[in-house]
Amino acid sequence: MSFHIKPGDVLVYCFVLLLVGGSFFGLWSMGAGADRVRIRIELDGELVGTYDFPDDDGVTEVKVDAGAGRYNLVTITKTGVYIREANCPDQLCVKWGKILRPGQTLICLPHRVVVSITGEEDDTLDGISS
Amino acid sequence: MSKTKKMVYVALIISQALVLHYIENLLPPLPAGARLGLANIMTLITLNIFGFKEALTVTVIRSTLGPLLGGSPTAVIYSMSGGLLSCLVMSAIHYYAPGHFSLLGISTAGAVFHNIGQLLAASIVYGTAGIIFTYMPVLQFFAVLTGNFTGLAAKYILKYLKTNPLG
Repeated sequence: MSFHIKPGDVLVYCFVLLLVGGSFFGLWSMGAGADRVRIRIELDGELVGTYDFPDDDGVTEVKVDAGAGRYNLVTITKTGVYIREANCPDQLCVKWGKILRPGQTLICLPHRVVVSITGEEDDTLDGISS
Repeated sequence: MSKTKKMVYVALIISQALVLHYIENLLPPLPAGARLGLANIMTLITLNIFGFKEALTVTVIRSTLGPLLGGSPTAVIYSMSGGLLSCLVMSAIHYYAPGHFSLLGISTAGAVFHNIGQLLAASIVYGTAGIIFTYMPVLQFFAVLTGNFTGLAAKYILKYLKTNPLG
């Protein structure tokens, strides 16, 4: 059997590199021009709450109740946001680890929980919008 | 090959794909929800032995029944979107660029587009492009590994079927 790499295969690998590069660019562009970075937690598409990163070593824990005893424990620290504990079957959200940059998103498909970091520009009326 | 015989073979292939899907659930999980995609071996074989129509049949039925066997009906959306896009791309290469891709290359392209389909579906369901950008790099890294692996498996099966054709 031959294992020669054909021109089309090279095209596939180039496409993969393009996708990876594009993703990093996408993340970068989502954070570009942001004056204020916030954390947004959603359950089933509904906003649970928005949170700020602490300035000090304080730790904020948010328990997202997905109903029927299902929960995700979101931990917010100065150095990033992560899901410390959850009782979902796949534990993918816990294993992913910390996110910090705007655009980065943690997702728990079984519980339909989304934790995302958003970059906001400071030209809105913060007192009302927050 | 008679129509009935073909139908029986396609049904057998679907059942084998479902067993592979089930076995995959028993294996230790890869990071970020990446999967080996063993069932893709069956799509690739069907495409080579029969053609697009049969490959599409295998994909649609296994993508519906696979997640149901695993006990997560909502996963059908992701399984289907990934499976369909993967099947379409592999078929397009198979028919429109014959000889330009190796079987391992076609399989890798299938794995890559499976991830793209799933991420698009998830980003539409949750309304955020951040999901795509966050998970794309790590998922595609595994797609290159698993795509080559399933392509290799399909290559050996097709080699066997060449000397022992379906009667």
